[in-house]
Amino acid sequence: MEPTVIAADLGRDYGTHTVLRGVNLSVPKGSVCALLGRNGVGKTTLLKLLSSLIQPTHGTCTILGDSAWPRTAITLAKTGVVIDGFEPPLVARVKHLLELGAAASPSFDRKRADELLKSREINPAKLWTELSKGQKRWCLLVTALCRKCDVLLLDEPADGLDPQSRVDLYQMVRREANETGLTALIATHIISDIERVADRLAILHEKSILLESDLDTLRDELWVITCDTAPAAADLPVSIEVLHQTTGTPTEIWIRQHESCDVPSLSGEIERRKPTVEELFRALTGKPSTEAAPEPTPAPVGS
Amino acid sequence: MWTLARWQLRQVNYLNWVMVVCVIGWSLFTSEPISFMHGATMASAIFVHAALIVLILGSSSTSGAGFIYSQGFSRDQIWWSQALALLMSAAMPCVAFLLTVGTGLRGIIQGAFENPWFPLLGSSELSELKWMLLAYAAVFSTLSYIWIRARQPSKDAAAGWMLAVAQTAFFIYCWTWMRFAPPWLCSVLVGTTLLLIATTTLALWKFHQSVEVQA
Repeated sequence: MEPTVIAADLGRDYGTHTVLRGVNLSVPKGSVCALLGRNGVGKTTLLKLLSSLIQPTHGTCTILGDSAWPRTAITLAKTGVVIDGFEPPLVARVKHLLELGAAASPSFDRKRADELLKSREINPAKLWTELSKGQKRWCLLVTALCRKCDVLLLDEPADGLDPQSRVDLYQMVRREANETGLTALIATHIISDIERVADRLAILHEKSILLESDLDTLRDELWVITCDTAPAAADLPVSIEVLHQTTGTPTEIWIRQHESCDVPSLSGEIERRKPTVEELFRALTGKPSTEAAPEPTPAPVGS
Repeated sequence: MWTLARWQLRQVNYLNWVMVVCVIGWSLFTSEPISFMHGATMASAIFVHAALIVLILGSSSTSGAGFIYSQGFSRDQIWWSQALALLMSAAMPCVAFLLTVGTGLRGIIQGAFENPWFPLLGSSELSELKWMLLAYAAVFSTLSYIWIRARQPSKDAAAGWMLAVAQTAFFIYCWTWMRFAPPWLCSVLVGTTLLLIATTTLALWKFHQSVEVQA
């Protein structure tokens, strides 16, 4: 399927400080891509670049075939953006937000917006300052979603939302992607949300995209193999890419098989398993597990 | 366009109403003949009012600005809505002045205070309106130029400050000396001021196309 959101060798410097360099990303039409990355890695900067708020210092980013900076009015009208920290002024009321949404996109669904606000008991006459953090976030998301955009760029959309609102939000995004071909790029830290909504995953690390893949493909291709000793590189088949390897014994090898063949048994192999997205993220971007502090075990429910 | 302009205007309306009250109070109760060329009170008030409006509407580094630039509007739409909001903000105190002076309300009040200047000066003071509008246009364009140059990808903030300082110096020179200048020089200074405002506004529109939003 044709990519709707493309970043090609994209980079951004602030003076001598490089935030992003050589970012390559491609999100196909109708796809929901989760953008993961540690704090301060440049997720918001990437979304600002894609939404044409700031200019790239290297490379290009293209949305709906438009790579101009700033984007044309037509592309901007088809792009819904919710960036963390961007909020209406204090004097604004909720109904003003809806009016603005309708002014930005002729296809704005006011009836649906009213229903979605009503579902969270948000009175459109309320002042922005009278809303809770979660209600504010819900209003911003409703405004973006009801504009019926072709592309949605969301930065920490679930921040402040209660669990039910999070589920509802991601259901709406997923439904729009399936039914209308909405393409969404969602920067988040909540891994469970990714598995709920996304079909693609991109991990931003050390200024560029470390891994980008279809989630199903990733699930098929990824293995964590625990071995007594680290196998020599020569022992591994060429179709296997070693993503990460822990130090110490036993050692964990994170591999990705690029061809649809069985991964052969490695010498000293103890066990093999499929990693979760969270494990993958931590293995690729965090400290090696041997150096990390042990995780506290959560108390069982009802104890 | 109107929705966006109303959104912009809503942010500064409280300032505009404060200014309207100040203008009404000042124009009703000032006993000396109103002259922007001879008194600094209203000129200072206009400067403060216009500067605050530019600070609120013009800045692209606030959360509110980030919000509006991320709502799917083109730079042109945002520019024109801002221009409209600035125009309305300048128009509100001007209309207040027009009503209090033009309707003769000031004359009635001053007459009641037995001010010897009235009703002689009633209609001649109305011509001060053009200086009010000129002052707003000068402050809006000059101050807007500072932030808009600072928010370019090239980050040439110094260029904005340099032009603003030079332009401000020229405007102050005009304001100080125009009262003593012969009519032909007055016309030259006013003409130059209008030209400067027009070219700065054109530059603002051009630079606004490439302004970066960093909240």
